[in-house]
Amino acid sequence: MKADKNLLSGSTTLLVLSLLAAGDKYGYEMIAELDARSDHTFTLTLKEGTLYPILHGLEKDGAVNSYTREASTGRTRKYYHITRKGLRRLEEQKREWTAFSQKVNAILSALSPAEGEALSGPASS
Amino acid sequence: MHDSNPFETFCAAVCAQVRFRPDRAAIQAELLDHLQDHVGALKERGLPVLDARAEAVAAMGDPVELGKSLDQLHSPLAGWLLAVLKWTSQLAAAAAIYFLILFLGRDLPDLLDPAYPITSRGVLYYQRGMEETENTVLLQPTATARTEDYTLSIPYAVLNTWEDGQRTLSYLLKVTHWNPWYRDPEIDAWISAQDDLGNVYVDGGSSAESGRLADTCRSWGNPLTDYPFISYYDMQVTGLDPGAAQVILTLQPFGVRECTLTLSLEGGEPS
Amino acid sequence: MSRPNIYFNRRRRFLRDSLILLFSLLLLYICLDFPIPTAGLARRATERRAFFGPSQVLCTLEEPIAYERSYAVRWRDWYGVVSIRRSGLFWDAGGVEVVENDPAQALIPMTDQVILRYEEPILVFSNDPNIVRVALEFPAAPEGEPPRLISAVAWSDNGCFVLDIPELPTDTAWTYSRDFRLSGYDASVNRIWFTENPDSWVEQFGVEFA
Repeated sequence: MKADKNLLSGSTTLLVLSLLAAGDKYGYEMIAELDARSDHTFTLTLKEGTLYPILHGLEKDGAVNSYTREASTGRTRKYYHITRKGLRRLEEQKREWTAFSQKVNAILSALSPAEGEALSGPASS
Repeated sequence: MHDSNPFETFCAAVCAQVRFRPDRAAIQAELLDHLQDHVGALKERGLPVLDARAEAVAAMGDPVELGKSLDQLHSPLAGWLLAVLKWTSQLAAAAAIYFLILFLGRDLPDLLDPAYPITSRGVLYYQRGMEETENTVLLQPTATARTEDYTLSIPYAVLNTWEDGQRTLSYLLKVTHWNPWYRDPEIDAWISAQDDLGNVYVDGGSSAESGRLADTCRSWGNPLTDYPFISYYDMQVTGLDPGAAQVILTLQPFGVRECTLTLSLEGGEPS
Repeated sequence: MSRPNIYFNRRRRFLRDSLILLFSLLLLYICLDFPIPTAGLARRATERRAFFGPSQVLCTLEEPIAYERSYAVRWRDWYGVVSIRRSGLFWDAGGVEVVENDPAQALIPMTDQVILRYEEPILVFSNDPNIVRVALEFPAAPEGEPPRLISAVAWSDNGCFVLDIPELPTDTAWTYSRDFRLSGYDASVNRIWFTENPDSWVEQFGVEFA
């Protein structure tokens, strides 16, 4: 179940943006949702702290805004809101991700199963 | 909550890496929220508080690494520049409001209700304590004149014939300039008049060829009031030749002719 | 509970604060009645309002003749003093005094009538670049005393001489340029130009000074 850390971190921005595209959220809310949707893959491989540099970077770039509001728990939270610029960036990254994964899949399926096993063999041992 | 607070230690370790101090408090608040939410979630799953705290902190990862990457995003130079810009703009706004209140209290009443009713035709009478009589003719000046940068016009002019037959032309001179620094020019000192019979009227006396009394035949005036873009002058030509039908007013400072204005002494309605 | 905020959208912050700053400065400028930022612009505005110039500045007077700063200037056939006002951090237009140049004379005094009571210096312009020292003499006659000759000297290499009038008899209120005797000296202190003793010295004061 444990995914490669590098594979995940490159796509964290994409994940954060797509989470915010569904609605405004605060930091822990995003972690909890990622955790639930990925069968704990995210929290097991990436430290939760990494979320904040990503959010602050997106805010600096103008892809998200932040504001303070009372959460359902009754405490105030810093919420993040995706901007129009962020939505454009999300579309762009989605396209890139799809193109990339298609190419990876194409290479994987073009190789024969025997070769595929031979390639993956030493890596997994 | 207790003295050995792992949250505070963690947040302090993160914030120590952030060089731009003004952002530290907000970063700490956000991280504390996260940790408390995480602890809350773990407690619901039945974990003891102390274990939950330790786990929440561990899940965050290395505080120094996190602090360093936040520091990259909260760069001190841009932060301080923005802070200075903010203080400057607030200071300027405060000063603007202060001077606006002074301005509204002091200058606005004058602008709304000027001491001299400039636009009314009564202004020249008001100035000199004159009465309108049957010998008062309201003229209809139309000319405008331009120097390099000033625009001159006469919004109002009257011709008075006194009991002794002397005639006086009184007019309101309006001078505009786009630059408020150039308001209120010394125009009143440099306007001479010449009628269609060749008589010349200057400040301080008429010319020799007019052959008329020097102290009664004059073109002169005073500044009346000024606004940033418009200045008004109360002007007159005294001792006008009874036969004159037209007056040409010339602005000629230091011997340089800047512009002329022609004013007909006829065709006005009797007052 | 108030919560510290990171206003982290720096471009938006920059735009917002810049706009506030710009608008406030504009409002301030209007409310302060359009002050003039530099002395040079104030001098130009003063001259234009008097329909004088643009002139050439000969020197900035250390003690202003009027207001807060005075320039001795030349324009066409005129010499003049342009004075400008200080208005807080800014400047404001002041006034212009002029005297017509007479190229036949090497030295031109600024004013017809000098009010000595105000302890104002007397300004003399030179048409001759060789003159670097100017001496000015005029008689002053206090009540009931014989008249005495007041003299002042100034050095300059820019053609404008500011003469401070020393120790006056107490009740001498003013003097006229027609009572002046002016002498111009070159760098070796040779007298190269001078005016004759004015007639008024004999006619009005009844004394022949040397």
